[in-house]
Amino acid sequence: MTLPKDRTAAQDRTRRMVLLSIWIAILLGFPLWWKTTRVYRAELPFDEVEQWSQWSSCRPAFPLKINVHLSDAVSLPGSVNPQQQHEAIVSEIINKVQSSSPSSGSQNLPLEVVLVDQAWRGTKEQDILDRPSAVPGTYDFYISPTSSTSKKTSVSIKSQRQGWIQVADWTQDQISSAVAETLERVFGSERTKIQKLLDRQDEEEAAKVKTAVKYASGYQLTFSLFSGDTSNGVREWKMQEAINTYMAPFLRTMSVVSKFTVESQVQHYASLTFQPDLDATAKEYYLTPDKLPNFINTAEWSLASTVSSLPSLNFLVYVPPADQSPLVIKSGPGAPPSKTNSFLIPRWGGITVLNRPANDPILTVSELEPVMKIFLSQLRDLLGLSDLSTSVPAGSFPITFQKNEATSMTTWELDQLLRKRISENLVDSIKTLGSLARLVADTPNMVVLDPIQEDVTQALLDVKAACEKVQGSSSSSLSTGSAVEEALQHSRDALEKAESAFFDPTMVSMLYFPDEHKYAIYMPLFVPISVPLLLSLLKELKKWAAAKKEAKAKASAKKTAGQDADAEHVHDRKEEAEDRKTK
Amino acid sequence: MLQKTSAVFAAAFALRLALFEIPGLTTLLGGRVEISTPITSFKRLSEGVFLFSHGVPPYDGGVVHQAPLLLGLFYPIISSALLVKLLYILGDIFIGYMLQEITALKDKDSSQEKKIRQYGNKPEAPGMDGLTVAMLYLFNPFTIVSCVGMSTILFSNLATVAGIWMGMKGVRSLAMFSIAAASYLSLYPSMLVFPVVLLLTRGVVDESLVKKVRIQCAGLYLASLASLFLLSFVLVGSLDFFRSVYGTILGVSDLTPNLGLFWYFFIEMFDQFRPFFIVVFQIHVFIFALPISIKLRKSPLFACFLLSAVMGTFKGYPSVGDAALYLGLLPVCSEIFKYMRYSFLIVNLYMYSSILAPIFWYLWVYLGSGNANFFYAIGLVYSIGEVILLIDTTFAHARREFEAQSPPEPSGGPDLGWDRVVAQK
Repeated sequence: MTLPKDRTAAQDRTRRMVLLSIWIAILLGFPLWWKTTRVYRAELPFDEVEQWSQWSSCRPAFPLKINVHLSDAVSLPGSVNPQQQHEAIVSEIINKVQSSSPSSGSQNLPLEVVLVDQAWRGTKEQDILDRPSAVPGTYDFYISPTSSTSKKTSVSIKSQRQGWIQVADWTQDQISSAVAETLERVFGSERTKIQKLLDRQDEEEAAKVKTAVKYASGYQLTFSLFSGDTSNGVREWKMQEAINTYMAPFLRTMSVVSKFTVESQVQHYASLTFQPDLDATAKEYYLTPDKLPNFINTAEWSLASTVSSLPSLNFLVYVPPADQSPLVIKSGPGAPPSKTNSFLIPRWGGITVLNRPANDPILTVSELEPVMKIFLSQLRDLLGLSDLSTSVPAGSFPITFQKNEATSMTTWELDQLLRKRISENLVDSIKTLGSLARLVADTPNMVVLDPIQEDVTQALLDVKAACEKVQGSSSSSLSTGSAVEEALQHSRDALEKAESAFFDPTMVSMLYFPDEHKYAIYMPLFVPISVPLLLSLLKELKKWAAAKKEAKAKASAKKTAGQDADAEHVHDRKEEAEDRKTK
Repeated sequence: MLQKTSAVFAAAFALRLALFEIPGLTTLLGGRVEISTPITSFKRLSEGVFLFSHGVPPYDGGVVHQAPLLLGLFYPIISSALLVKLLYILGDIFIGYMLQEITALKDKDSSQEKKIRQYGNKPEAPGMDGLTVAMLYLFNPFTIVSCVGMSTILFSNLATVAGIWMGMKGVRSLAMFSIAAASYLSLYPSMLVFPVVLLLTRGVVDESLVKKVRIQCAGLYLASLASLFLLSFVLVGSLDFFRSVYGTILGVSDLTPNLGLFWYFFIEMFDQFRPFFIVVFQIHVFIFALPISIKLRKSPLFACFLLSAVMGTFKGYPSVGDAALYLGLLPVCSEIFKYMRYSFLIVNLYMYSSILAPIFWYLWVYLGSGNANFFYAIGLVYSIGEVILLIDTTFAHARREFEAQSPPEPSGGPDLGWDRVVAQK
């Protein structure tokens, strides 16, 4: 094998150049590798989230302002100085409230009792009803000696944040204890609930099936008439009028909490998935409670609303076909049927079975009235509006509630709902942010983009704003209802922002991405390329080192021989080339 | 000879004209993903010209990915179907003519070199003559469907071949301008700058002169490119086309399936790794330019072929039009054919994928009885064919070089060729 020496050298040079050009391209690729696979992580305010979960910077509190109006129809016995006496009554009320409340949650609903100097003249109920309080969290108690013949203390809670306490004995002690007990009974359970909620001690409650739907700024109400078949003769219903009459006032009042859109539909030939049992003795068909979960024929009844993205609540009127009428809900044959003939599906809606004569094709407004009443109470439950008249514990005197005729609720309950929703939203937002913080901390591969940082920051700002608003709603007696509503708005925004950050698709996709995946991605690509490249690089380096060493050895050997350096250099090169060739 | 030449070109012209006249064929071929890609589709070009002629910025909508000057070229003639067809047909025929000329120039070159002796001291048989090369291009089914499907890759191919032709002729300015135009039209041909500069400096012994020519060429190339960009800017009035044309070519943002390797990969890719792998894939295409040019600096024409095949295989939006280019350049280097080992396999792979690609596409998209994997598998087979072609031609070229460098012993003993080295070891 005889290759010209210069050509071998040229081939060597070519090989090195080729290798070098590839390596340069690869080295240029490294910064791009770094840049394109960098896990971008926007800074998230973890500390702040942690602070909020302890409520260390601001603990939401809903101060209540109680205006006590004393009747001057009868003067208090033993009064010397009315000013001193008023102060005494106020401090006594506060003392009694604090001593009678077993829970330590008073900081969540701090009471401020004010005895209004301007005494209340009348003793008539109408005087109270004429003076409503429009500010959430501010309540007026009108106190007068009892006018009834039974001479017993009684309390009547009116619908517009007023209360009328009629005291049996017109003494300072009686007055203060009556007020204190009323306050405790009306607000006590709410206070503990909020306390538990804020301190995350409501786990056992959360585990229970909640009737109320998750809070949203708007709901879609769908009223559906399902007619079994033509035999029952139902053709249409006057739903629009019925809604305007029975639902609209309630929905309007509730609009401070959530907005509602309403739609209705009629569906014919809506068959059940099962045959109701016949109670031959009572001559009626019946549904047992264990069958109720299967009542809705999800396959055939189209209930999904297509028009809006709001969470929807469904209200169904089912008119059974003639051959299954009457249809009642009872626990078994012979048992008394359900009075309302209706049932509620938690977080979904309500259903009423309506039995009616077959000859009338139109469901009139008056026929729908009982149905609408049922739906209204179901809607209250679904929205989490607690009924004070049933939830207030029994005490030494009766408390009666006068609901607003049109809305069938009191503003007391509305205020309670507002406070509950605000605290729920705040707690949920902070919980969500906390989970997000833990998730991001636990997943170092997760990309955190700028929009997420913005969402989190904005959510925290909203939490702060809401918290400050509820605090502030208190201190000034002149504050309007808008402070609480603004707080609700902020808390809602906070929750939306927190959830949009948590459920951001860019984060969800990277939820599970362990390092092994990276090897799986890089290995097939780089191993086949890098092995020959590295090997040839090593080979070249070895050759280069060997050649250098040899040259050095030769140079030192020949230097002693005293030869000319230039000639020696040329000689070396030749030898080097020869060595390479033989290799 | 002249008669024969004109007969061949007339036949190619008539065939294309006849195919253009078959109703619906142009639309059918133009709609095939194997023929038109998002960056070469005539439909998109027409859309761009329409938008342009109505004063709407053509690059706003994300539909048009063709270079602005192409819009400018078609703007005056798009209303006349005949003119458009003639432009395509003549463009294709001109490529054939240039290939013929290139082969002729190369034959002249190699006649000055000493002939490589083959086994048994016989002189190497002459390669294909220019007309055969032109015929192989003009009657290649890939060329024909790409032309009748009105893929705009034709213009990029035209500029590329013109660059090589001018390089062979030694006209620096035109060679560099053509390569710049090809780079301007579809970016990847910018790799051909190196071999074309080698073409221009072939036979030049003086090192300083070579250096001078190189610098001059680099200047010419950059100046041509800059003037093309400037002209485009004047034409469309904005620089949006950079993002829309080269951004799409490099970023592979339109994942319409094609014969290439990108689309399926990036459909399945984790979003986080997308930019990284796009960079890797694109570097992979360009990484070949320098090593091939260095290694094959003695045979730049073959380097031109190899690089066109590399870009036709590994680019983001390959089509059969890219295959038409490198398959047209391959017979120019016909002297390596006898050293190729897998010709049969390669031909079979091309035929296999050409037949099955439309079928699997139909199964996937129209019948729904197949899925994307079917079509991608055919794309893989096609790419394997291309890669084997690359490997085999490179091997054949190296083998021929070896034969040339180590001629067999003039006398005595059996001539073992390549095996001698093995035997010695």
